[in-house]
This record gives sequence, C-alpha cells and structure tokens, in this order.
Amino acid sequence: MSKKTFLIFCLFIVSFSALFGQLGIPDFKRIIVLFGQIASKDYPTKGNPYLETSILVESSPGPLRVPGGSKVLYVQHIDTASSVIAASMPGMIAVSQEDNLVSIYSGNDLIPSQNISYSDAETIIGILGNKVRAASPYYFLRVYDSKNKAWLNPVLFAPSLEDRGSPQIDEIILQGKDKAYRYQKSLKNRSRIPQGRYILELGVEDIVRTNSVSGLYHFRVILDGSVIIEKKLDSASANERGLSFFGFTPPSSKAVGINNFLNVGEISLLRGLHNLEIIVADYAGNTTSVPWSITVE
Amino acid sequence: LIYIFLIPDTIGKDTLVKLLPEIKILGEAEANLPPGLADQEIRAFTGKAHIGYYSAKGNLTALLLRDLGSLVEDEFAILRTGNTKEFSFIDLKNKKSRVIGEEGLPLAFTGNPFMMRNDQMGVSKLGKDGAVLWRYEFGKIVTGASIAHERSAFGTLSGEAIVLDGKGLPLYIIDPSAFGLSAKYSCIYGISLSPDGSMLAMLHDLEPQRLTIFNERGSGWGILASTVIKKESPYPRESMFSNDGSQGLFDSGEGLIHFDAEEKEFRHIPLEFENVVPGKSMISPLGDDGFAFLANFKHANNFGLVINGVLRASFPVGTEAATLNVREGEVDIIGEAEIMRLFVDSGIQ
Repeated sequence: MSKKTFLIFCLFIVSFSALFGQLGIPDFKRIIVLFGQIASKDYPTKGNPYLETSILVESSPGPLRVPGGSKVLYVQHIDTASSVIAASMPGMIAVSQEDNLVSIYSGNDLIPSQNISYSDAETIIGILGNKVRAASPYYFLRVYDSKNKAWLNPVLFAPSLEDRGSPQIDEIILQGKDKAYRYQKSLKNRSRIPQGRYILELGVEDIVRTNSVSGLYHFRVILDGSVIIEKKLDSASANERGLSFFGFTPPSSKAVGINNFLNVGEISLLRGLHNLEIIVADYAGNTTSVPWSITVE
Repeated sequence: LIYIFLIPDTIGKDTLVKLLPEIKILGEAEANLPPGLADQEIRAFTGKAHIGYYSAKGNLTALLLRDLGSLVEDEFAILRTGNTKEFSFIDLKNKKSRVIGEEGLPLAFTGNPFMMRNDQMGVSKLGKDGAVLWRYEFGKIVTGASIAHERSAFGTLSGEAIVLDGKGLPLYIIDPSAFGLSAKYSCIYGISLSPDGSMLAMLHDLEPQRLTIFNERGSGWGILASTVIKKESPYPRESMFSNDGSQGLFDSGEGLIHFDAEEKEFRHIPLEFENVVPGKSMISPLGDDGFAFLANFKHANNFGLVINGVLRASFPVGTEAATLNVREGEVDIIGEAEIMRLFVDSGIQ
C-alpha cells in the first residue's frame, strides 16, 4: 500500500462514522457497487473502456435530502438552456461535505430542485421519481476527495450491506506478448505456457443475490505461496490525464486488458512448476479463490 | 412587413427588428429523418419536446420527438436507430450513416460533435463522418465546454479548466486558485473561448463567485480582468464571446455583464433577472460585435439585443421560447409550437 493510499485509508477510518449520515443515502432499497467495474463493456470499440466510480442506489420515490449545513456546489438540470452539457446529460447535484469531500448524485430519475433553500435541519436537493418504468427510481452516487484529488469508493460510507454471496470469477487470462492463456476449470492437467511476462486479466463480478451487493474490493494473487499482487478498490486518483485505478498510470483504460477484462497487474513466470492462486473478496468480506497449476516451459 | 423601432441607438442610428413569418411546429413526429432532407438548405432546431429541421424559406421539413441523447445539427444528426440503444451518426451532406459504437450521450459544441461518457468524465471527439478522432479522460466531472480555433476548453466540477489541442492532447490546465483567485468552493459554472482561442472566460467558484477573463501570454495564461459576481448560484450560466472576439457577454444572475476586451473592462447591464428557473438565459453572438439573448425579467421571457455593450432592444416573446438560432442577421426563437423569426439590422456599418 503506498503512503498516499494509506493516508486516504486512515481518513476513511477516522471519518467513517461522521460521514455515515452526511452523504444523504436515504431509505435505500438496494445498492449495487459499480466502483472499479468496466463501464463500457457492452460497446464493441476497444478504445473506450473505462472504470466506474459510482454506486447505484435504488430508492423510494420522493425528496432526496442532505443534512443541514451541506453546501450545494453544482446543479445540473435538463431544462438549463444556458449549458449544452446540462441540457443534454441526466440531472446532477454536487454537495460539498466536511473533510473536503464532495458527494455527487446523478441519474435520469433525479430531478434537481430548481431553487434550493437551505435549512439547519436538512436540505431537499432534488426529487426522485420514475415516470417511465414501473421499477423504483435510482441514482448514482460518487464521492470525490478534493484535498487528495481522488475518487473514493462510496461503499466505504454506506451503511453495512447484507451481502452473503461471494464474487464470481468467470475468466482468468494470462495475456502474453502475442498470445492469451485462459484458465480452464475442466482441465485436469497443468496448463503449459512459455516463460515470460504476463498481464493477469480477471473476469469477475459480485453477483446480486440479495437486495444489495457490496462490490468487488480486494484482489490478491499468490504465486508459490508468496503474495505477488495485492490491490484494493478503495480509491482512484484523478489527475490531468484521467483516473488511476490499481496504481496504474491514467487513464482508467490502463486497468482494462486487451481481452476487455480487469487488468490486475503484471506477473513474471520463470521455467518450472508453479501454483498460482487468485483470491477476490467483496467489501463484506466474502471471498472466492481459484488455484491454477501451471508448467512454465 | 412589421417594423419595430425599439430603443434609440446611442450612436445615432436605429436598431431595426423586422418580424418574419413564423414557423408552426405542428404535426405528427416521424420515426426517422425523411430521405433527401439535405437536398435543400436546412436549419436544425431543438425545442422542448421536438427536434427537427426547417428550410431557409420557413417550411418545417422534419419533426422528431426529442429524447435524451437525440441531437440535430445543420450538417449531421445523431439519433438512436433501429432496436439498439446505440447511436448512429447521420451525415446529411453525404447521405451516409454509421453506428458510433461509443458509450455515452452525444453533444455538439458550436457544431462539433462529441460523445460525452455517462460518468461525464471523458469525451470522444467525432469527425465529420462520425468516426472517433480522439478520446480524453479528464478524471473529473465536466461541467462546461467551448470549442474554438482548433482548441477545446473544458470546465470541471473541481474548478479547473483543461485546454486541449486539435488532436485532443492537453495544452494547459488553468486553475483560478493558482492565480490568487481563492474561494471557499471550487467549480466552473460557465466557460467560453474567444474565436481565436487566445482568451478564456470562466464563471467560477462560490464564496466568492467570479467572472474571470484569462488571456494567453507566451507559454502560459494570465488574468486579463476579473470581477466578483454578487448574486452567486450553483447553476451553469451562459458565457459567450462575440464573433470578432472583441467583446463578451455573460449571465450574472441578476443581469448581464458585458466585457470589452480592448479596454479590459466589465460593464453591468442590470435587467433584474428573475431566476425562478435558473439557467434559462441564453446568449448567441450576432454579427461581429453583437449578441442576441433570451432571459426572464420584468415578469416575462424576453428577447434582447446587446450591440457594442449597449442594450439596444428587448421585448417579451412568450414563455415557451427556449432557444435561439442565429445566422447572420436572422434570429429564430424556438418555442414549443412555433418558431418566431426576426431579421435584425444593427444599424452599424
């Protein structure tokens, strides 16, 4: 863990209880953590994958409130003729919180208030409604740390989620310079691959089995008993070239491999027999582990 | 013909506003654009419920229902086609179309097509045929954009402007706080590049909110002028340079602020804006050094003209007037059921 990441992590611990109510997550029905997931997976163009920074909050129709004392920083409403972006994109409200945090609420079901009147108790910043679908309205929540210039995983501030399901690893790929080697569960013998450096790509998701899902959080790769990769989806730093996930240089597409799965990191495999183990945990602590026996030639 | 003489011109001539026949936006919306649409001179319009095209003569030639993401411009349209959720780029001039294949929603800044990512933190610039020319991830939420002279400037929720070159490579990051313009909260609410790309206007921050004009100086940028906005607000607001870049006009929340680039001076045009619905004002350059605008004041939705920093005309145009289409002296005010047309002669030779 880098020094900066460690400082941010300490901030979470210190501020967690204070922020719990501040972010204005009302009586939600369901939360799906999208932070760190590939956003544009359904689109054929390989050039534009990026990673999400939000959680999806499904809620009841009605007012969206934030605690009193919060400062509304930015309001984007589709009826805003004066801004091409506001008139074209879904509604958005940014609220400045304590500790240099900004919470951002957005989505098609969110109608920002046209005029916001502040009160000490709470402030109604918008209305959640859904005229088109019969389902409950939802919005996306993001949290930006303006001091450390990083997007924080909003699940760190959410109430504890009942998530008893482990993440599901669908694909493990060792992407070499010219060829990809895939883990096959049915294969009884050891996989045979040439010596070299490989990008480890994981096709993994935290399946929605209950009302909420806590999301992918912790990735660990063990080679012959030694931890060679350990990464967390706790934050993504933001700089002028984009988002940095997993410590990769921005943009966030660097954290997506050429097979369109998460790029967890690079590993070096020398000739011999090796045991690779991939362990993925969600934020609630549910863990999935896949061992992969490899003969490197 | 109806001639309306409005406010006497301070330089001795009169501003003439001639009312042209209006265009009725009536009829059944079509599912697709009609073939051969671009065989005549057409003008795109975006109303509250409808989008479409009308001819230079004033006939409605295409009418579609407006939904999130549908976009019409004079030379192209970006629409969801078929049963897919994907957007197609329709090149009206060459009568070709292609699936864009990018995630997000289409936007156009002064006729330049972009796809804005759904997280509003990245853009893909499209060429004239709809192909992706370049992509850029800002890592911050984009709140405004302006394109001019092979440059694009993007304002962010974090309070900086990022200026990219014609290939989408970063040229400058302009952070007002780095120029000593500190504020309690940082954010960009309005952004505009001058036509030659050498000046950048930014309406920025809260407590205090400022309007600042930056100009390019050698390898960097400096402050040309800055003023504090008294009636600050968290809503995006219009900011615009004139076509010759000599002037700027900005929504101050309580009126308009005119900027004279030569004199480096701001001049307040108090109009007592009624921000019942914030962000409703709209400003378009008119001629070389003038502006047409729509704004709520005096209990009405008003159209107005500012020429050389002087309010030359203003009159109510009905509550449904939402956007402006300005071409040389012709101004079309897009309402819900009709397009009101004006010919404006500024009287300045």
